[in-house]
Amino acid sequence: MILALHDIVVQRDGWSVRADARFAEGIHLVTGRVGSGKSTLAHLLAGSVVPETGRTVSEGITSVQIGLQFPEHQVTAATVAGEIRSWGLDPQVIMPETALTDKSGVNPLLLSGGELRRLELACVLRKDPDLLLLDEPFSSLDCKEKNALCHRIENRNRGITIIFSHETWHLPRIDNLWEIVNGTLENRGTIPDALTRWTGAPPLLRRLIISRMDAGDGEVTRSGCRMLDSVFSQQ
Amino acid sequence: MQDARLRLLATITLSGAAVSGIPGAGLTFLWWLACTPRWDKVPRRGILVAFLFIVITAVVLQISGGPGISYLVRFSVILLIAAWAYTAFRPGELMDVGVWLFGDGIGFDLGLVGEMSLQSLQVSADDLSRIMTAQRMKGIGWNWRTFAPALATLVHLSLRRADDQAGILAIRGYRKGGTHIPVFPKGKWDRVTTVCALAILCISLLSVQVVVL
Repeated sequence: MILALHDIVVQRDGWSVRADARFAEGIHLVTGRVGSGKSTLAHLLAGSVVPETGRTVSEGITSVQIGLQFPEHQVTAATVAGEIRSWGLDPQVIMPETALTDKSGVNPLLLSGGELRRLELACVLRKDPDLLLLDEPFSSLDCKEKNALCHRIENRNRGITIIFSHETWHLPRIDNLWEIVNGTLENRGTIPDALTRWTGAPPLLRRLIISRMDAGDGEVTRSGCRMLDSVFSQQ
Repeated sequence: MQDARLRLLATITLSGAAVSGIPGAGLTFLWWLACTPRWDKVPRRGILVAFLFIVITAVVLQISGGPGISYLVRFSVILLIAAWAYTAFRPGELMDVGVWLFGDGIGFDLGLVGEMSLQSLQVSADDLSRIMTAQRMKGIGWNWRTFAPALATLVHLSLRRADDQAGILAIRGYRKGGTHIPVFPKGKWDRVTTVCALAILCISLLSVQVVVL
């Protein structure tokens, strides 16, 4: 199963995002600053954004699902139970899973942000598509729910999962790290080496890498840290 | 057309000319051909939906013995002018025009309402695009059954944003009016095209008067 982007350029008013990438099976994290183009890229992969140039090629992918940044956009029914059915799923399965059993008749738009996020994520994940795109899936969730979501994503043992997020603390075990820098999608490689090349790494992670470097923990880490230092010193 | 005041005047006069009758609509169409960049940046999906409503109304009017074809021509031209005015709009212009027309009190309030409404329209267009993506992912086609929940979501999101904005304005101490210094950039052909628009309105009204006499 492969999803490849060839010389993709998407342009919007005043900015653009470029991508030349190949996503294999596993969990991918696409990170970048707010407004860097993560959501645009997610919608491009979902087929709802047409690029100015370039093409997308997929092999072996027969089903695609996207968890949108704002779960309100996904609501198409007047009740929680109806909303679950609109996904072709059984409310009796999803409602206990999302702790919404007592809210089956409630309008989904009247749920709290966290509840609606839980509901839509549960439905998207239950569909278990070949290509799963999750746009900022951790927003509106508390730490406990974020960890639970991480476990759900990790337990998905098939297909391509791409998480688009600026979250840096609660993340599942990812196979590949990507970063949008200056409007270009760049592959940082596999974990753990990718962490040393991650320009937007959280400060604590960066300090940990440096401490490992001081302890003489590998040449790769050392060179990565030098790269990180040069990037951070420029900011 | 750079000057927002002249653009507003041209929009009003041309709309009046187009609605007055077929000759006015024809002249307005010629003005649109000659004086606007036409389809550049026009939100075609929105135009198509609006045009569909005009066609439905025209058909109903024609069937019931009314001037359906005249309605179709006149309001299609008005739609073109509206699309041009919408795409030529730049953030802050309504505030400029509002304050220039009615001052820092009611003018500021009207400008603020206009700016927020237009911003809301643009955000709603993005919302609609996302909703359609979500429906496609669920395997739901775009039809009258899915139109109602999509509309409900759009209204819900708009009301919630309006509520948030009202709260923010109140917290920032907004009660009524404010200070704003309008700035109007001037284009080379602004005055000429506005005079043409005024002339079209005069000719259209005269032609209506001739028909009445």
